[in-house]
Amino acid sequence: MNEEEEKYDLKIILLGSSKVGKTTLVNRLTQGTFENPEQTTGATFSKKKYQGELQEYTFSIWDTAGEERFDSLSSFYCRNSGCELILYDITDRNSFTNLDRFFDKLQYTNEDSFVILIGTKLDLIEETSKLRKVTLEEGKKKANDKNSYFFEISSKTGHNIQELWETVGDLFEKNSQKNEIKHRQDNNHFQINSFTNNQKKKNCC
Amino acid sequence: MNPIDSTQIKLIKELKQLLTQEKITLEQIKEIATNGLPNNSYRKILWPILLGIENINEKNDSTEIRYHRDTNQVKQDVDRCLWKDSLGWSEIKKTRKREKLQRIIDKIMCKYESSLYYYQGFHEVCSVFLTIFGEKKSFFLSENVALYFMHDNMNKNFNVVLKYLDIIYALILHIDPNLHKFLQDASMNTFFATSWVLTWFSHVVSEMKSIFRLFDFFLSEHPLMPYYYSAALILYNNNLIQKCECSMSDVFNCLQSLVTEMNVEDVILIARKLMQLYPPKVILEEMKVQITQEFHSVHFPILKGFDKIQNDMISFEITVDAKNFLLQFLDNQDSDNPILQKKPPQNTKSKLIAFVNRRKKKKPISKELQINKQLQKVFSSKFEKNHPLFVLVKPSQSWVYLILQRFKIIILIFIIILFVFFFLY
Repeated sequence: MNEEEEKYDLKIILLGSSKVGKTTLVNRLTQGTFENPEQTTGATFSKKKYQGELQEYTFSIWDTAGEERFDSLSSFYCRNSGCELILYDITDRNSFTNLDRFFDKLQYTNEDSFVILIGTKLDLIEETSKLRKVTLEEGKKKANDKNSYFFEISSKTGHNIQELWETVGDLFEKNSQKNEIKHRQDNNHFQINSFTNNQKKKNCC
Repeated sequence: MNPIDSTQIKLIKELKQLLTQEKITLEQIKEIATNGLPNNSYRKILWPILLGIENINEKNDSTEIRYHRDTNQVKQDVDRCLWKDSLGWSEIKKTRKREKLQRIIDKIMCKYESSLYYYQGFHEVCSVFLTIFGEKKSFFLSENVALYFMHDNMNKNFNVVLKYLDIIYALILHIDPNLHKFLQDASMNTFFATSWVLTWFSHVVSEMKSIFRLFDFFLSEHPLMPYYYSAALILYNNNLIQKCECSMSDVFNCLQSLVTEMNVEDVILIARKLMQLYPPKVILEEMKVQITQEFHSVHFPILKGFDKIQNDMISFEITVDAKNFLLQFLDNQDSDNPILQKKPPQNTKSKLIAFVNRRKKKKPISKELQINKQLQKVFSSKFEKNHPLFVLVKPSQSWVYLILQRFKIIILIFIIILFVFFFLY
């Protein structure tokens, strides 16, 4: 286990083509606002608290650059992540056909991490459905194929944002419960592990 | 008009002195600009010169804009280019500027389709030019910045940039091994500095004034200077960074926040010193980086195209127009500023005192020594006195030159005696 996982209960990383709305989603989640941000060069970091059933958790959110030449950087930021949000723009076909590039990155993440596929800019098709270039069914099918969860959201109106966040929290709690059971099964190992972890922490700084 | 401080007065005096000379070299201009230009009127004249553009007013480029491989990406980025709020521009003005920015970048990408590749962030560098210059001039500035300063960023991929980024850690290891270990323990690699070096800090710094100052500096120095500046920024804040928890997220967060309140002048001092102590070729060799054809910046200023500019500029003459404008501008500054106005005639007594004082005055301290003193002030609590940062670097000179310098009077007397003997016999 890495140091960082001890302070932040879950590392979330956002992936997706350029201008699909990664930074906008982060702003919506962390500040509850909607604005048009500038492009992300490299990556940015932010954090958000999640109120679980029994206790409060802190999640770290890593926002990455969408352009392809930044790919090797995003792979680095994927390390130790427990949740990947992969985004596409439902009004932009290319952002959907490019998705495999981001699913390939899952090799760098934690083994027990979960993936949520997200179609963004739902508000744009509320006025005219002509703008929609990726159907709901296509999205669902893709998510199914890739063994991931699925949402269509709008950061502008806040549609499905709360649901998305609840899902992330739920899945995280389920995962950690599973891990706990696993740990209990081989109790001895668990104790040794936690002991060495504490040792590590002291040595680090 | 903003009040002028003492450094600006010094700069204006230096510039005036320079302008009275027949010929001005690029080196002289660089030496002045690297210390920061007082305002944009100077930048309008000196930035094109720093980028090797002659007669910018008469230049024309007939490249036609067509659809290119990055058209969509450029449009996406330009459309959300906000410019800093400190400029106070209206939405209409921003929209118009965005259209110009789009055309500038499209034109560059069409002109150099086979050699330059657009990256997210290049448009921000161009947008800085567009805040001072018009569309036509901004194009030439952006073109030369791309060719001579950002060529390596604009390779097909970031492989070279990622190698350069390691320079930052290599420098930190030299100066402060503890800090280096701390960053390594936090499993933080140098990727955090990508947006710094790719956009010359224009992406992350919100104060336009600081961005202009940094551009003065970067345009006058080696293209790899942004990496040295990044290392200097981290070294300057070593105490602050080491206070963070040793985890990637916290250190990343801390490093991100360094740029919001940075002491640009102090960091520049350190960056310059680092460049002097460990020049790019030396540090890359030490890092065992194989320098291939893709590494354009390493060879600066012997770059294809720029070497010609460099040679031409040795005897470069500022155009008469530019010179007149600058002189006129400087005169205006004088009349606005009471400190720069001519001193009232002195009486005999004060003249005498001034004379005595002048006699008493010690030899002026060299620039090098001054910088060293400032560095010691910044880092005195951190490092020992014999730390490499404080060591004076003397330019390497041949021993013949050194002997001539040191014993010039003795040699002169010796030659005279020889002559005398020669005539006597």
